[in-house]
Amino acid sequence: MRQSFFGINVALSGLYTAQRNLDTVGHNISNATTPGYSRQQSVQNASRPIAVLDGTGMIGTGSEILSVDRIRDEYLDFKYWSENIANGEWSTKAELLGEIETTFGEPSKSGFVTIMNEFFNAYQELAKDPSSPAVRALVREKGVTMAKYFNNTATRFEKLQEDINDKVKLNVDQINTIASQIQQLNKQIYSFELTGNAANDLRDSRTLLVDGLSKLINIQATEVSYGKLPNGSDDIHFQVTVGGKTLVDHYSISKLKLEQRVDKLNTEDVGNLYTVKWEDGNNLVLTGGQLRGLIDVRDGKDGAIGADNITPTPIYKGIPYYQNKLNEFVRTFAMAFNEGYTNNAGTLVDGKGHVDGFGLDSDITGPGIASSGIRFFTRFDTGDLPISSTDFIVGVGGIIADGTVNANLVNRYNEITAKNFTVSSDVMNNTNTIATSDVAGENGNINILNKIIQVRSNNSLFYEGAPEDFMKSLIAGMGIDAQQANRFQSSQDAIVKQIDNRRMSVSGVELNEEMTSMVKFQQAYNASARMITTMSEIYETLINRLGVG
Amino acid sequence: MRITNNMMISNMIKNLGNNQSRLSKYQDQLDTGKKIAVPSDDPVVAARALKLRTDVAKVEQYQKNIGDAGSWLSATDEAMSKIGDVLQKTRELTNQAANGTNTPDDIQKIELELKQLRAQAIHLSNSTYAGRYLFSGFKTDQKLVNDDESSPNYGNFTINVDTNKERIFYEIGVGDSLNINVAGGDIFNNGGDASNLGNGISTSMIGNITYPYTITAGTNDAVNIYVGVTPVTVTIPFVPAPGYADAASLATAVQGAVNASPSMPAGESITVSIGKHSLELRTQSKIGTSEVKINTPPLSSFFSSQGLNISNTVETAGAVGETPSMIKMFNDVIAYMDAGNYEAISDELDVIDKEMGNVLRSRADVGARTNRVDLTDDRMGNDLINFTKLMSENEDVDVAETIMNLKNEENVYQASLAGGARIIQQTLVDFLR
Repeated sequence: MRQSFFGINVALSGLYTAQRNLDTVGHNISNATTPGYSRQQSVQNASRPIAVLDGTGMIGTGSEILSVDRIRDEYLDFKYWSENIANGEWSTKAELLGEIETTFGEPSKSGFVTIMNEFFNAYQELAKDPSSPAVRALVREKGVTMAKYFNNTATRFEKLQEDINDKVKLNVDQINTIASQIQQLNKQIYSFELTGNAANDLRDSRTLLVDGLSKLINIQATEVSYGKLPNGSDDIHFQVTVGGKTLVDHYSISKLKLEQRVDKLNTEDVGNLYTVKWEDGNNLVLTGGQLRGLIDVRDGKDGAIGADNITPTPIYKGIPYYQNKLNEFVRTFAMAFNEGYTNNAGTLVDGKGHVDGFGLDSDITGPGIASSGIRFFTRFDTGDLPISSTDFIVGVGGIIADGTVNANLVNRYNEITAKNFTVSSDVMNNTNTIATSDVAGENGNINILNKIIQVRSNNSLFYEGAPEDFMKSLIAGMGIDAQQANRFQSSQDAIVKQIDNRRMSVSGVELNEEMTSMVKFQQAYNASARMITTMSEIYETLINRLGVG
Repeated sequence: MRITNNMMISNMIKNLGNNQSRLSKYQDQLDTGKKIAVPSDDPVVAARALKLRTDVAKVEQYQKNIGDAGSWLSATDEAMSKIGDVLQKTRELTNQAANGTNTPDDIQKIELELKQLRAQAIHLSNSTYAGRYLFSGFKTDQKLVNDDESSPNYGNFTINVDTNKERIFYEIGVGDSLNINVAGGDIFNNGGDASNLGNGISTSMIGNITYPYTITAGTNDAVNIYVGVTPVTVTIPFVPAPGYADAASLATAVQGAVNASPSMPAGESITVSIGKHSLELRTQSKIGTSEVKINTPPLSSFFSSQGLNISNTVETAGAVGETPSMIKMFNDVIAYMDAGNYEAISDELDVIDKEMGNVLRSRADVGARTNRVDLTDDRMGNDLINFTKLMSENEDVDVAETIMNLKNEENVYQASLAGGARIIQQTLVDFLR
């Protein structure tokens, strides 16, 4: 026997189903621009039919919504994360190398090459008129300009290193914050999903957080099954690991911490840089992400062994590498310029330098005498005052004979850095001390000056060649590194973009689609409503008209 | 592939961004005129740019040096040309004084004029360029010759200038240095050094030998030459009459005797040579001023008989410099005029010729150097053009090409803007009513 109101119930279920579908469409439309949102789809089904035993078989009972599913391809998420790690690393490196490039200021009209040209051109002018006070002053000023170039470059490198260090701290804080957010979401998702339903929007939020995390550090995120729950479904835990150690494991979290270094990693470093470690003191294995990019540029000295003679530095040409190169330049240059030491196939050869020459005898027949034994370049003392030639070599002891190299003296030059490189106080105070002559009192003699000028074209001074070749290869090498970083960044960017496109292709909300669905479901709703009207008319006939007369 | 709105928007933003960055790249290139702004734009171009800039800067400095070298050389040449004029005038006057028909009044006038010429020669020896003494070697802030007439050292060298060592070099090219100065002694001391405190070479001339002559030597021909205070006794081998065939064989004999002398101090040397009209003994001493004495009567009388005036003119006293040969020539002529020795005055004409020849030799040398300066200047001019061209080709943008590229990018940009604006605006929403 057929129920009288069965038809209206069927129509009602259609009404409800259409409404639920419209709700999902509405949810999709309102989240069309929500970052990380995956479109949802209601899974509609014909509801359980009633078996009628009068030979008509099963009778449909209308429709129902089984669940609302999230349309997502998780394989693409994994791909996105693994590519985003490299993207984070190279975008950071590209950005930082861009800053290093600007620091060198080449090619320009104010970079090293111009300064070096002007310095030696001033020396050429002095060669033509060694007794002119104006030209002597010019030489001093150009010398100061050159020293200042190195001071400024070194200071800017130090500043950059400090900035990067701050960024490291920010990055670690960010990683920790995201990790605890993921931990919170894990709890919510896990407890919700115990009911057997998917926590669609929460999962979207978690994926978005992992997206962000993957840019910062080399993570791997997986859902691991820990056996079965009492209700028979899998017990799924969400894990995020960094270099094999778990950052977030289901409900538990182990954070990263920063330790200020007591001892510098590189001798060139500024003090108190952070080392990133696990909270429990273990070492962090960094293989990518922004953090790797930051630390490579902050600490990288091309794999050289650090100041403690044990710890290797990152194999990347970062700030300490360039600082070290600048230091090498000023030390070698100052030594060749001052002492006449040149590198001959690995051994230092003592020739003639500024120290062997005589300055200007300003009163040629008077009591004044030409100064000698002056070093043109020394270093700053504490308090940013240039030290004098004699203070510079204090404790070296003994007269240094031509042809021998005094190891103590070489050590004195190792005290010079790009940051404290300067023109000596002797030359600063009296330009007559600039040596040109190899005989006292011969003011027109430029034999020593010519030797000094030859430093510029001394191809055995550096492994790379003459002073300018050294800087040229340093700058070109940096250009190549920066170019490589830029290229990696743009290719990595394209890859990430492409994967993201595929993700969006699968999960993104398409308005036309939603509009079509909207119309579809609206029509379905209308039709169901129409059905109810029809039913209503049937009941009208049945109840009010039948047997009334 | 399913295309979603967000994909379209994000792709469009990315592509617009790419368009903009290309536009901005071309715009930057046009603004700066350079292909690259930072080394990473093109490390190879950057490295070459650095090298070429250095090359250009060096060439520019060399050009300045060449200009200065040229000025110095032309100032030197001018001074020497004036010295030549002075010597020419001196020769005329000496010639006039030598003919013996002059009245004492004439002689006095000539003598006065010669003194003026001597003063002029001394003045020229102290010529300056930009406040620096041209002929003072490395001692460019000191006078070469004493020009204080009241001084007993008037006309003597005040400093020593080593002709071989005190050469000022200007760098006029890569590894190309040019000696721009002429040491004072080279002009005023007949190709020798200017001496002070005996550190250089002293030259003394033992009179003149007049051709034709016969040279005979007695049995006891000894010459004492003093190097510092050490006497070096030289015995000239006896040659029976008719004696030495010519002056050259005498010079050879004297040189042989000098070399054989056991009393020569170590490191000292005496060079004996024969000039056109004279036998020259040149001593090179590191000990002190060398004195040449020919004091043994038979030989000295032999020289006298040959018309040789024996003069031991080298002063051995302390700091006073030697008299330059050119000034000595003036002194001698004036002294002979005072003494009325017309024959000696006539003989001095040879000395004047020799001095003139020496100045001409120096001028020719300076002329050759000036020539080199001009050639190098020319070459540097070409180098500068070449390097500048290379530099420009390396780093400067081709403006026409860049504008074309910019225009092209602009079109692409506008097209993508227009297209994008149309596409992303419209969805089905716009058409559902």
